[in-house]
Amino acid sequence: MKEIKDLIIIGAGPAGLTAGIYAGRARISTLILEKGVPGGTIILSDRIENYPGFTGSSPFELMETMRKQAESFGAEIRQGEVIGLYKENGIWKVKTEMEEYLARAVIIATGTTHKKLGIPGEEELTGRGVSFCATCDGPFFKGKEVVVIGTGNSGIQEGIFLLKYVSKITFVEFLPYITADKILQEEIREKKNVEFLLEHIVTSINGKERVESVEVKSLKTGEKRILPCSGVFIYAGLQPNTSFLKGIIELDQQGYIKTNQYLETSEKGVFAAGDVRAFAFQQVIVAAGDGATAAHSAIKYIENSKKS
Amino acid sequence: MTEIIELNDDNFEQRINSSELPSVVDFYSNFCSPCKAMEPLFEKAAEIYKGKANFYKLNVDKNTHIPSSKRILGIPTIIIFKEGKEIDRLMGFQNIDSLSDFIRRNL
Repeated sequence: MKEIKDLIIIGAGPAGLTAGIYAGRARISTLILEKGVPGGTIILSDRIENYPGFTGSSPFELMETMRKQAESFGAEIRQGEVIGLYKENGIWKVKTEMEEYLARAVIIATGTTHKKLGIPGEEELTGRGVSFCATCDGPFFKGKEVVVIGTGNSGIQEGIFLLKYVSKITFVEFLPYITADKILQEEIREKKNVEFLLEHIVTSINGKERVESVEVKSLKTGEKRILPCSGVFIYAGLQPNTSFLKGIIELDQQGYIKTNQYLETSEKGVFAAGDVRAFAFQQVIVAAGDGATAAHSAIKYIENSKKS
Repeated sequence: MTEIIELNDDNFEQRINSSELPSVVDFYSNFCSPCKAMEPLFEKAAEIYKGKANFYKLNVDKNTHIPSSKRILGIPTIIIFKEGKEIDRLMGFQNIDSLSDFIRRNL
């Protein structure tokens, strides 16, 4: 007979790993499933400055520590992308492409991915000048001009990183103001070779073999113009990784998971934590807090279900 | 542990062209977290395919000529060469199964 885990956590970002730490310490048999790199979206950033008590060199370092901590308390991490979640005879079945796992309770901590714009050229030129990871692809744009779409914390922070390499950045923002934290705004405004196109959108990315230009449109005047550039870095918001949950768990209109204050979802025994939760302030510290809360709720649920 | 040799712009062509075994090269940088996460998996793959391929890495931050000549625009990128010619490439983070599968079908 197949082993039934007490808890399966889907996603090994800050929420999932923190839940793993708490569950491991409660001596709950715990499996964490991760489809890609343990650490979550934050490891694509080059720095983290607002996680209390951590002044280390990179988010990767922080998340590696969290991963080791979760494993040290007994949580097992396996690679696998979850494609289905079903309940049968009171037990949750978590299906990946290769395996099916069983658990009494599940915490969904699948996080988000950077939203695609759906504009011409974006898909075709991804990996050929269109990028969602400045720390991965920045070195290939030495001395080149690039466009960064979005002026939230990700856009500005990654822009600051890109200035190590590129000769100029044009930030394109559809709002009439920059949305990043003030401290990041101060830092970027001190930099040379930075231009802001506020109340503008990118309508297409152009190039044959690789990115050669973008077309930008003013939302005020409707005027369009071509902006030559070698790279386009897209930080235009996030979308939740919940496509496998449609029709199973109650989601909001954007696809985020609805929860109550105990981080219980619409299904008994399923909890949600971190960026994937509706109304979450999408920060590592919040995700970690969510992970602890969800684990606490899940542990109580598991203990009660074993008694009954 | 199987040795993974660090290449640079100056010795890349010579090492790859003179290799009798297929060469598997990991293009990486120290800033790139997915690259760091892949490092132990690349080492594991080198262990699995020991004697069947040579494993190398090249830091794209310190070496610009070779990545540019290979038209690499994103990392991590893994390229397999045979007799100096590129056979196949993989872009982005891979788990050990997809990395191992990629190497196996190109040997």
